[in-house]
Amino acid sequence: MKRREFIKKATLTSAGALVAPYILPSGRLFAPTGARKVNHVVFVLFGGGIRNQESVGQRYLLDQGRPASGNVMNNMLTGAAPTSNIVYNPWTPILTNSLQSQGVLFKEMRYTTGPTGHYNGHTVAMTGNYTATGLNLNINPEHPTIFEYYRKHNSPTETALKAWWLSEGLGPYPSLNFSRHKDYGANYGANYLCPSRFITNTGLNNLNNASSYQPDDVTRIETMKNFFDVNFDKSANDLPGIINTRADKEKIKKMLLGTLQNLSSLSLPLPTGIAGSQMTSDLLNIATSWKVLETFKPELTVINTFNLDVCHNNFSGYVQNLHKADYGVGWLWNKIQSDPVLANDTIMICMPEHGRNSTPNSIVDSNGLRAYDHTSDQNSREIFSLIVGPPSVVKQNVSFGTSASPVGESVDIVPTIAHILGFDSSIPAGMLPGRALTEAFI
Amino acid sequence: MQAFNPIKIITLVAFITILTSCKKEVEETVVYSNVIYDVDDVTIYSSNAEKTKQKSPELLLSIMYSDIFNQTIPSNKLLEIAELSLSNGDKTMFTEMIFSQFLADPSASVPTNTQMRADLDLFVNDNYIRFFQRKPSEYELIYLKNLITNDNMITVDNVFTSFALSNEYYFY
Repeated sequence: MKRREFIKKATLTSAGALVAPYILPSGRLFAPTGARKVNHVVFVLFGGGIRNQESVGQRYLLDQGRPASGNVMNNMLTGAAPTSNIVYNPWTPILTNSLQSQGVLFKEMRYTTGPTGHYNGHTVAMTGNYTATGLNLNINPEHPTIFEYYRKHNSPTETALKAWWLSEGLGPYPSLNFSRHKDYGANYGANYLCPSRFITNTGLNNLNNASSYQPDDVTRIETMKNFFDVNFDKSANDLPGIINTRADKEKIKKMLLGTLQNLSSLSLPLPTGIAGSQMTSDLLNIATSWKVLETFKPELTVINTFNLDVCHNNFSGYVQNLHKADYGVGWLWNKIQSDPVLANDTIMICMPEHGRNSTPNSIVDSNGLRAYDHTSDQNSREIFSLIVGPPSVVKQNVSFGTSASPVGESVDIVPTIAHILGFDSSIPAGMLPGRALTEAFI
Repeated sequence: MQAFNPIKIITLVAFITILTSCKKEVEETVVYSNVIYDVDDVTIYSSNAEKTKQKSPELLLSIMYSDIFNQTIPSNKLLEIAELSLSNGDKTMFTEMIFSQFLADPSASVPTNTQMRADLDLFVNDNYIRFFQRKPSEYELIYLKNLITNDNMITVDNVFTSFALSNEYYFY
């Protein structure tokens, strides 16, 4: 071979090896930059307003003036459960090793500015920007959501089937799957579902005979619809919400109707021997989220819990729901690790949307325990975050931050997710005030 | 020689002017009494260009129910369905699901496939009025009839679903 020809072929071969994308076992084309840490992120907005005292502080009833401390979140946090003054029904942990031991705990994070309201907290966590909007207005947020950053800047571009937002309740939360930002919006939004209103008897009664379309029917329907549409000069594109591709619609319909019409197929996050009546809407949200994860293997899933907001008037109920939601998160992580695609390729992030006040209100529950609101005092700005994932990617059993020296803010989660999924450098400068919590990763 | 009669001339000119002048187009608003619904009279649009406003999600669901069941949707039913719609991010997908539920209901007013094919003129005309509140143009009538005639697998459900998912159905 002539020297010039050899050099040419060798150069082409080397270039090809560097440029050609790899195909991962999951089937995803993956640019060989190594920028992605894993291919799936689950962000649990462990919400409703949780005080650091009863969570990472493990003070249990100490602030109620009773000599009883301990960890009521035995799946997420490391620490012994309370042994006296038990005001909740303890469930046996589902995880042998706590999530804290399988990742990084940011023990003292801050929700720095803006009202500590639920909608604000959710909006800040999901847009990475603080907001002063204090009303639960049912309008899409001003700043782009993490879903829009993902769908616009991730390469290759994915459909909304790969991005999901599941909320415990309705209210303003359906509007958090996309923003009203002019450069982003519904075209980059996530699929949204509220299981506590959909996976119900009402849902079943109204959709028990509904069906998805067969492929041949789709072709016929589309042919006639297209004919009608060319004879009409307006488009129904202004309809609120995202619009999935035809193929994705049928997949989602099949999953939703299949779940609804065969409720026993839904795996529930309940310990053995615990009655179904112990289910909460938080746990139903987690159960349905698993159905979505199992079925579609989304790359970005955000879910929330909310039941422990009962703390406004029932402290014992708050502790109970905190304990149940903790079980649900442990159950979800177990499920993720049992899935051949998601296991060892998923990072889960848990963070409350905000805390609660340091001083109680005037309401006392049946156990004589005082309730707490969240009215933007310093205590309600104190939160934590847990990042768990494969040991090769996420540091294990490490914690950062003290009350004197907090590490991380609520607005840091969006850039952290962008960092994990490898599209952080594509987000235009100035959009996100926070930083990626890089100290969590190997 | 006949005498010049200015009155006759003026009358003739006026008559010719009336005959040849631009005619003002008269829009005919036809009210079909109980064509489909057996409930209320339905005002028929003379053209789909008259539809300029988009239906709200609740209005769409309400009209959809009336179009299939020939009766007003009960308020509690509308509330339930509206909440289910809110629970889903993709509203068009939910519309498809709820419409398929309506069609599957035994009390739905849906002709059989045999009835559809027995008189396609009637079927197409009736359902343009049912879903679009207007009569089909000659072209629309022929196109749809040919489409159904040439594909034995097209069902009434397929046709109804296409109407309900069309852009025109979202406007009034």
